[in-house]
Amino acid sequence: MKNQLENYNRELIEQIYQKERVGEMDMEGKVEKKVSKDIEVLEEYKKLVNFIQFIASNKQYTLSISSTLSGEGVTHTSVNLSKAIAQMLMADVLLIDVNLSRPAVHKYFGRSLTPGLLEIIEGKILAENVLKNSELPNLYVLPAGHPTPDSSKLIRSEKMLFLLEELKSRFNYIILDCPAFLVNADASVLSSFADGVLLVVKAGVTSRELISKALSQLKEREKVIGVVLNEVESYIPEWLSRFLK
Amino acid sequence: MKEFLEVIFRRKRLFIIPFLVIFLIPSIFSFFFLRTYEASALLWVDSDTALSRLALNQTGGGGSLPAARYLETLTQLLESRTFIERVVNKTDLKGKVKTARELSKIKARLKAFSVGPNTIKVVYYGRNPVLAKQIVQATTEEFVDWNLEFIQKENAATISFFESQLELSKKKWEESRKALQKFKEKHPETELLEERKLTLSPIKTGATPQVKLEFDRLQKEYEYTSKMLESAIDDLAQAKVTAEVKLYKQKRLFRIIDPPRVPATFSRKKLLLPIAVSFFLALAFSLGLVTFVEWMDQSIKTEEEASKTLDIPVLASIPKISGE
Repeated sequence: MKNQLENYNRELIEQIYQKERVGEMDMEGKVEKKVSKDIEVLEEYKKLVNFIQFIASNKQYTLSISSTLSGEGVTHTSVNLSKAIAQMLMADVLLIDVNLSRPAVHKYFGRSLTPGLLEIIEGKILAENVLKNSELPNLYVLPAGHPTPDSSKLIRSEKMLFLLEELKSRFNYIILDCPAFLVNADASVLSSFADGVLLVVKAGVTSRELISKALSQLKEREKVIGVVLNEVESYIPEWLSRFLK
Repeated sequence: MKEFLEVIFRRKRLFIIPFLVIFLIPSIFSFFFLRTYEASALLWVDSDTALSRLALNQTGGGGSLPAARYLETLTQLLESRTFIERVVNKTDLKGKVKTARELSKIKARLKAFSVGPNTIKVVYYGRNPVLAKQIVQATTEEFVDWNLEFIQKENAATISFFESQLELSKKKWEESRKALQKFKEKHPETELLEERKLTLSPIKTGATPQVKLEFDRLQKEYEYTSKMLESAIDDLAQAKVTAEVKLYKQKRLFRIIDPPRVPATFSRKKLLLPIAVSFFLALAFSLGLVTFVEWMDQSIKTEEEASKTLDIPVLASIPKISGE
């Protein structure tokens, strides 16, 4: 049973961190050390998935993931969380890149930016033709599409809302990879389309003041389900940590 | 403790760089530019002589160790401006030290302490090794000379006292002799009285009882002053001998068993203080800086901090993976 669980964890880690691990497999010493760290990461994602499962209560759930400023790890968290939900809950998951100013989801899956969300809203292409599953059969990815001057207007429009409603009927979980609250006003509008908002906070970077400011921009504050503290570092060396324990 | 260490390790650059700058710059400067040389001399104080015991009693030391008592004297002398001036005048600094501040500096660097029951160590720390040696040498010589002078003055005072006593005795003897002589000339019959005293024969002198009485008195006074004079002469002679002996022994009371030498290397002991001071200053400054920067930094770093300051739950705390 223990071995099964370990194998499952290892597979899941490899799924989540596929890119990072490929490059490090030949560095034996480092890999072992990294695995323990990966397990820690996995445990955190498990906690997060369990929580989302709990609040979703077996219903369709749309989660918007955002941060205060850019570069705090929203896309990374969105991608990893989507994979974790797809793996752990065996549910159909759709990850939509709604960060039109800095689209990045497609890069994680080796896809092209277009055709994507914007092309569907504009009616240039049908969603069925764009939605493709990733390396996981139940995880679908929708790239942002080619941005135009009207992109922001389109993404705030009713068309977007209708599209989301349509997609909700097909996927158990929809993850919206949103822009930062204090950088792009789309974030607060997109958050209103979701059932819950997850705020990514980069440890040691995001200040309390900025978080308060970002939260104040939200129309429905109660939608914020919680915070994911990203890139938490332990600076105390391992030998000293063990001694302090 | 863990939180404190976490902050220190997180801000390690901010801690290490100012620490190294504040610690290393003064330390390197001290090492190269504040080198101090230590010159010392070891002085033996003889405890077997009666004189040393006498000297101890004079300084009120009773039965204490000779080195301790003389060390006390030397320590007090080192506080004296005149003594330091005399020391300085025996060195290359003669005529160069003019202000009280310069003298105080020399005073502060000159130390004396006991290293055994009979030994006193005189030490000087200075930038110039030759001068350091000269100052220690001059101090020991001055101290020995000072003690010798002390005895000489004491001897002179004693002899002077006995000489004055002799003068007084002489004067009294002369007066009594003259009075007796004068009485004899006035009363020739006193000669027969003297003869009768010597021969014990019943010679009739023809002297009245009053003359006899006065003659006896004058004669007794003369005899008494003569004895006093002899005693004063003896006392003076004895005092002179004693003074000679005291001086002789005083000259042998101190021996320089380790004469001062020009130090070949600088003293490492003296470097410890600036290094220790800069270490603690550097530590205090770096810790202060880290604390200040940490206090100014409003960012959220740990799950505990986020839970405390934000009114929304922390659902996950994703550790950073190197290369991520």
